[in-house]
Amino acid sequence: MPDVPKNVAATASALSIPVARSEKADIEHDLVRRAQSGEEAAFEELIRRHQQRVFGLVNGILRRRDDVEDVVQQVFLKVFVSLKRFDQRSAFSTWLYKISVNECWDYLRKRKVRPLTYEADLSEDQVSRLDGVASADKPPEDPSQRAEARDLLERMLERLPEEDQQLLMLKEVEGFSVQELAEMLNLNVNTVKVRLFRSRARLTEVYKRKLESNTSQPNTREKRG
Amino acid sequence: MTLDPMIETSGACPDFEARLYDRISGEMSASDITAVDAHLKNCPACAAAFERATFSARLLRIAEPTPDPGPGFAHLTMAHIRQAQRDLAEERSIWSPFVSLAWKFAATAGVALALVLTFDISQHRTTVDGTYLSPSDDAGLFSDVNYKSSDRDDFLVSPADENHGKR
Ligand SMILES: [Zn+2]
Repeated sequence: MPDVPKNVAATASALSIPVARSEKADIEHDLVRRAQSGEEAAFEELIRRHQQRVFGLVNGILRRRDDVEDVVQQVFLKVFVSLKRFDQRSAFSTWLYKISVNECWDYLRKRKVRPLTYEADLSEDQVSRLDGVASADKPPEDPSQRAEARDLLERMLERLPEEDQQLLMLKEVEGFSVQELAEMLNLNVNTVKVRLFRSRARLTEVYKRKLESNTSQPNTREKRG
Repeated sequence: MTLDPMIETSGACPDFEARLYDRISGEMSASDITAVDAHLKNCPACAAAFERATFSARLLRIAEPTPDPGPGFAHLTMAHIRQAQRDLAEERSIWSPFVSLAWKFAATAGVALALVLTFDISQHRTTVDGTYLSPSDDAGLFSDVNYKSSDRDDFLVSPADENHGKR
């Protein structure tokens, strides 16, 4: 829409009014409409299109791999049941992500669990290995090394407030945009940016402190043999 | 989770943090980049926070996004939804005879109550002084069904007259 001034388009976008719909959005709009009229194949296609992002979202919040699939299935069941009430004024993905976030909170509340936490602190040996990975030009290619590195990173993340961990995982790892995070978490875009900036600075701070405490106590290093 | 009380904020100028994040993300116009970079040159606090936030990318790249659950997932989820719908329908059908019986009972009770009330009201009539008398009272007190007492005194005296003082 070339005639729409930038600020009008931005306001319309903020109000979830479709200004210019892409072809992809048109297809999705049609799929939603068909699913609303009871066409199961259309709903299955919607699942297929969004399953990876919903998995990423739920995994980013819960980080309990065993339960992620169950929660995602529950999300799609809820979406299916309430689909007729969805008026398509906002994007289907926005609505879907909000339901996903609520389902994660519900899950955590009902099960009275917190997202995955590591009780043990990082050993000096583990900090050294993490340092090796962080200093390298590329992340390790070996799957077991990668898995260990991810495990170590998650332990570092544990040092941050829970909401900051979730924001970092969703934005920097799972690839959700700042706008998407703001919408699904009911936060201001600027707030999301500030929190992400602070979380990233804190993560490095935690890591550097670990390294410093590691190098300042050389005699306590784990003995290998 | 143990929080580190030493690192509550990034240490950067609070009004600048969102812009510094945009600078890291690369979501900035050329003129904004120039302005932010100029600030970074003159503000050691922002420069230090910016450096830390930028370095975190080396740590965060270790984590990989959650993989796609595969083509079978949508199909499996659809089957799960169908099963859930069937379970719900079955649950409803188990209770439906009881529910309909309860409704029938409630409806019958309602009709019966309405009938009793209608019958009761229609059979009552008003006396001259405005008091209600039932038909059974009427027949027991007066042998002559056509006789209607006109006032309270007549009503009290009439049984005594019929006995003529005898028991
Ligand atoms: Zn500054």
